[in-house]
Amino acid sequence: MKYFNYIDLLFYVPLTFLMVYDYFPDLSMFNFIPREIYIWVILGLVIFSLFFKRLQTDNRLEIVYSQIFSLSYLLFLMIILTVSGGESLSGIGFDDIGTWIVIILSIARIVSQKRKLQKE
Amino acid sequence: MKKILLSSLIATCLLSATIPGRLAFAKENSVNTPDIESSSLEKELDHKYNYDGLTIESNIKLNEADLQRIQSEVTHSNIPKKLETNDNSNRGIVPFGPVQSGTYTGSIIRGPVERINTNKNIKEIANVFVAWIGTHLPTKFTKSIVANYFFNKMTGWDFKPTYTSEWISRASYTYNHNYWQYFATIVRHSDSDFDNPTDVAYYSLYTEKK
Repeated sequence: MKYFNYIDLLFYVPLTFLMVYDYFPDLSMFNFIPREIYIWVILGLVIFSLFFKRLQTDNRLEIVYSQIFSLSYLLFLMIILTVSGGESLSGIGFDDIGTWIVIILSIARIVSQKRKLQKE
Repeated sequence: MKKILLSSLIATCLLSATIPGRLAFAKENSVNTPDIESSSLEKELDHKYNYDGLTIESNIKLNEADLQRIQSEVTHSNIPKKLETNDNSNRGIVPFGPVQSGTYTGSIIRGPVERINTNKNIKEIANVFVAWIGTHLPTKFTKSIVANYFFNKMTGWDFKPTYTSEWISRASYTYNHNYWQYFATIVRHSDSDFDNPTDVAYYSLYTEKK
């Protein structure tokens, strides 16, 4: 957990709700907090972080670990939501070619960055 | 490694953008192969007109009566239609009578076919590309390409579908009534009603002895 910053939760909590909505849009909780709120929270966070150095990072090891966490967490979440009987409205899932492309790209990127770090 | 990935991404973009269109075009050509005595296919659309808000492009010179007929043909077509998306390739020749009897001597010999082009491949490429670009932003929240891709997909900012209809018609060749002249008409519509044309491409394809 050394390289996982709790501030990352600010990003992954709304993203998780967005994914739950994508798989189960009829859940009653989304009547109280609409989907657009999560989108604006994420967009606001990204824009906000562009102006604050604390929310930026040059540490390559930290970037690699955050990518590993993100990949593992989102795949796990996708499996859980699919097993729970959900079907993605937007089309993400294991039968989506784009999902596979980004998974492969992500793994290739992690491996390449790790190798570079080991060489240094 | 980065260069290899980037080159393969660009190659995928180019292949997806070019191959399906070419395959579809080849399929169309293979269906319609009449004996052609003389060919007058011009490759470029030289003439562009704006008729009552409708943009009409053609490889032949059109007069006012032609423009009026084309506008009427693409707006008030009351002939049976075949609806299909770009995933369905089941297309055959469907003969129809005169489009508007009494005013137009030609007849539709293929189509009309209405298409809903979902642009799925372009959407996917754009989503992956934007997710990749996002990882280069100077913020820790967009470093994961998977998270960026999921966010792009779920927010659905991407390309909207396009709606087109198309048919091939023929009429007696003006300069020699022993010949048929063939035309291809491609219409772009603003919505799924297929009743609001915005652009028309009207090609003279070739002439054939009757």
